[in-house]
Amino acid sequence: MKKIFFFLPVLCALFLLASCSSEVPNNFTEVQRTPQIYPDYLGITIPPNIAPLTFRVLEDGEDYVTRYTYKGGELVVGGKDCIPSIDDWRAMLQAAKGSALQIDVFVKTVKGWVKYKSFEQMVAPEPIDEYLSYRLIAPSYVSYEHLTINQRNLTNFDETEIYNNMLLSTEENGQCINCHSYQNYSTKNMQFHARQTLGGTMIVVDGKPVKYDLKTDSTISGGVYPAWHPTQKLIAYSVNSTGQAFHTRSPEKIEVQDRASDLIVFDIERDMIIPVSTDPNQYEIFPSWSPDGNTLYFCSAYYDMSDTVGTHQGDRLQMDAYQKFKYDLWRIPYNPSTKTFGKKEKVIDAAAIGKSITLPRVSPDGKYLLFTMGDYGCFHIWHKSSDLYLLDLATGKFRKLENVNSPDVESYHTWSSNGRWIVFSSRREDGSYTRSYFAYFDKQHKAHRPFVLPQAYPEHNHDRYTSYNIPEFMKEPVTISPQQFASALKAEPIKAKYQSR
Amino acid sequence: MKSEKNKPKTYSELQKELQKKKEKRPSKKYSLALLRYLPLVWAVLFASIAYVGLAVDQREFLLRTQELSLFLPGRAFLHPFLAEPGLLLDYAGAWFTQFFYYPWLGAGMLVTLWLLLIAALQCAFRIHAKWGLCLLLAPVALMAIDTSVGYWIFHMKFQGYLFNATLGMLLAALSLCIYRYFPVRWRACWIAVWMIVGYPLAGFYALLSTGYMSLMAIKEERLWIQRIGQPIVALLFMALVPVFYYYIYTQTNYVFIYFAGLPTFMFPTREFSLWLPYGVMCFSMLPLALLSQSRASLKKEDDVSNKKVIRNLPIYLFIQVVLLGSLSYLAITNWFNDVNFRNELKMNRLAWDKNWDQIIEDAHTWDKEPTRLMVLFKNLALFKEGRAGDEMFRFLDGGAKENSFIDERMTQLGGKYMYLNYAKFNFCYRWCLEDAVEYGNKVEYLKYMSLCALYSGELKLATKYLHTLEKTRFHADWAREQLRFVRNPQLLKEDPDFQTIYPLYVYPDRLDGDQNLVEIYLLKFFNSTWTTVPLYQEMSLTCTLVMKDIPSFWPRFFEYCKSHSRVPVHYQEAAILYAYLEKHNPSILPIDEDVKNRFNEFQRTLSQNPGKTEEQLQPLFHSLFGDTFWYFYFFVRNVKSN
Repeated sequence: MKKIFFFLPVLCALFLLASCSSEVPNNFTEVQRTPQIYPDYLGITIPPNIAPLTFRVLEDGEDYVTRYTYKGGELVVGGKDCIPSIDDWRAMLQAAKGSALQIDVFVKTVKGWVKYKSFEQMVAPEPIDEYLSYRLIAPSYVSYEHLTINQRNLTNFDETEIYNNMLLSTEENGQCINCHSYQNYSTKNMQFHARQTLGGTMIVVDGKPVKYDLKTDSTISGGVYPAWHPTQKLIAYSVNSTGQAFHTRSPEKIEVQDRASDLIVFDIERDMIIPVSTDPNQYEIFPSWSPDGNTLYFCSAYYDMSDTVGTHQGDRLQMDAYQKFKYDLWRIPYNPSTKTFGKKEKVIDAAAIGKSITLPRVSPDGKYLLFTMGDYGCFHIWHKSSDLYLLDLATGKFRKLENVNSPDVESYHTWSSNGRWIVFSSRREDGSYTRSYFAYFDKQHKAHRPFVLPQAYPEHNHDRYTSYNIPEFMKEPVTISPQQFASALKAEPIKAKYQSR
Repeated sequence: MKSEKNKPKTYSELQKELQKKKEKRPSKKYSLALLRYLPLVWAVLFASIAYVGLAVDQREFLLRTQELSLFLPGRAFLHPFLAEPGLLLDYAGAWFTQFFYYPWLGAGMLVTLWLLLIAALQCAFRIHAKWGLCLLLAPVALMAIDTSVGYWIFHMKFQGYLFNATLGMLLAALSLCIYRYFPVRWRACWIAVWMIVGYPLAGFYALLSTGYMSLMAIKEERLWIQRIGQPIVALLFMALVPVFYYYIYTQTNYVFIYFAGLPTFMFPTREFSLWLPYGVMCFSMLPLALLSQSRASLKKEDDVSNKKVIRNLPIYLFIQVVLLGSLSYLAITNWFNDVNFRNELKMNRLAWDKNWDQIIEDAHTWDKEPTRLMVLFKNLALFKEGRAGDEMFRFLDGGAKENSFIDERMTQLGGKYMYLNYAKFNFCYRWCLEDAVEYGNKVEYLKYMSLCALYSGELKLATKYLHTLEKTRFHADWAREQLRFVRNPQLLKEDPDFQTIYPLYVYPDRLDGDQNLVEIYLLKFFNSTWTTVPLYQEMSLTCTLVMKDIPSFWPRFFEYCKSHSRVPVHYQEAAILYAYLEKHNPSILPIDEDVKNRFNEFQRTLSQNPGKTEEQLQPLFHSLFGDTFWYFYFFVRNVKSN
């Protein structure tokens, strides 16, 4: 009798498993449209080393089969949630490199099996960097609680924490963390900021974490938006006095504005801050180096601050003028051997066309510059008008990046180390929660339809209530443990010195 | 020669005599049998009182607790609970908390867990029935933990707070049970295994039970190697296991590793009374450990010292009644019973149920100064019923501070709902998200955020929140009801709730902030804006009255008169008063005779009491004119809003 109670659940489980087919039906009716799936992975180009792109079939039915057909083979997966095994998926992608996967979805309805119109996924020959790091943060306003900087292995679903702010936060003394950044895709040299409790900038040089205090009496703040020089132990930063205000009605909800911002460079070897651009009527922000390290790109907006600085009326006027802040694209030459800067020049006059540019990123081959452009302002993650644009550095012409943009926000982007992949942030799914999307940038310099970061199960993006903030590629994972970072953050910081011009 | 009387008795005769004596004492056997059931009697008595207290008296609190919690099936919800030791208790607590949707059910589950705890404690410590009352120490402390929460429920970072400590203590008691039944020579191994497995599960509670294991070893083990060895093993593992897990988990601050699973109140000194029940809880097993006996010893006591037990029973009971009386005093004094708190909870629920009449009816029964939130709920109900202009000053007014350790903010207590109903969707959304970030997602926040997204046309965002609510046990139907509107936005225009809110959504966008003051923001906003929409006009005029803003009143009043055939009483009262103050001719104003007469009476009463201060005049004017705008204008002052 006891044996029945033991085997019964086992039998039930087997029955359930058997009821999910993983055999392609022989008889079916064809439907002349592609199936609705979530995420939308139709017509995309994927790297040969990406984790399985799991998806859910949104069509109503009793049973589901998905068939991948590729050069020399076939992979069949059963279930409403199509979750191929990692080993099968990898083998398939390796075999299909440079060619297309044809995907057929079969759904069993009351009237029998139906087959939807096939769709394709191209497998690019070039791989993607294996790791991606991002901060997980709610699209919040002022408060914060749990913040983590995570790293995700893009070839599987492993996600681990680089640092968790709760290691040092208490109820009364919170710690904010942000702005993780790596030198040339390597995690041996990296940095991130910790704010408030035990605040400072954590800079890892040659694998050793050290805490710095980058705030000086001569700068507006400590370093904010970072950009590692590709070869030197040098980080460019904007220094900002930032405030935010809230829309009473617009779905764009939050407006982040700088009251002041300048550009500096931090020479790690000398603990020295060097000013780069400190015009009080210019709002310099988002530094970014060219791959050869000879040019520093940045954005800057002009606003006449006279008679308004520090006054309540001035703050209100500036806040009300938020749509007048238009950032142009600038660059300034840099001499690595003398560590000096030349004269800056405007690259794109965005204000003249009624637009605002942020986040310049030069491709690894130095030929193109990717940037975000919206109607105004600098915090484009909240602006639905912001899209990705591509500047040809040789011709000076720029265009909206085809196939990539959506009616909602596109922002924070970066190139993979081989220049073939772009990762960017988008809120196209629901208008509020940022997700990371990847787009292939082919040798003809065309962008392909993007796909969202694949997850172990398809509903993950619906279930997650945090945004993927600042996606950055890495070639290898960060190996310093969160506890080691916590220990380093408890130490007294090295105080940066200011070198006046 | 010896007589028959003095003849020594044989052994068998003595035995027969003894047997007869025993048979003559059935009442004493009967008493002993009763004694054995005493712990059960205490347990049932406690459970009954606790159940009624929770299910009936704390009904509104339990309902709101459930709204301020969330449980979802699936790995995404579970994952954060694996990030710290002891958080799995909260996961289980969240699962139980959802059943407070039916307070009688959730309360029943909680009380059942307390009964299981009593049974587990008896299994672990094996105390004699005469000490049965001591088994109630822990459950009474747990009840005090749950019933002393009050306003802290709005700041709780645990999803299942009301169950966490109970589940932790239950696990601790069960581990002690297992310890009790482990072979003596392997008990040190159990201590080690329990610490390694139990600490991630139960955090601090694993440490607590391990501490008691070492106490029991010292008290009960006969061999010195066990008596010393087990405590050494316990102390070693208690010290080292949390440190080990600090390097496994990435979310625990080192200073808290020995307190994992306990709440972190913000102000340790002010919140001493919240910590006190935890202290009692921790020490509640101490008397049990000291009174614990082996099975043999229990049997011996039952057989041999019947007479002694029965004779000393009154003393034992007296000691325990004193003990339990102290705990009951602790439970009762920590039974958060604030009237305004209860009113706020009830009004919040009634408002969600759209039972505006009941809110208004209840407001008439206030007999002490209400909080601003209560006043806002009352005004909202009147506004929804179209009676604000006629009745809003007929109630007790004021701004009593919430009975809380901290200065409570309306944004956390009920302000979000105000913003939602006055069409300030972005502000409602903001505070939901701020609180969701700090305290975790809750059913209440998700509901409000989904409505804000729905009403402001962000349908994809509304879908995200509604799909999440669809996965809950008790709110799925509500979510599906709203999803109809997402699929067919045209239906939303016919929704009665929407119809009373959307007309207020006619203001332009601008950058603004509320400085965390809901009422002040709403008052200033509606006081400074005006449209032709009738509902908006009502709102604007009532805010102008509350602000006592005469310049803003007049244009609104005249516009109102043009588009309405009837002018509510309070607007008339304001008009005649302001005309008097500004020395205008009131005859041109549309004022009813009743209002004119009453105002004349007001003036007469004032002139009959010359030279008196406001304080002296207040009782008289309250009794005669307490239901007028005039009383509000002159006597309701310096009310602070939060």
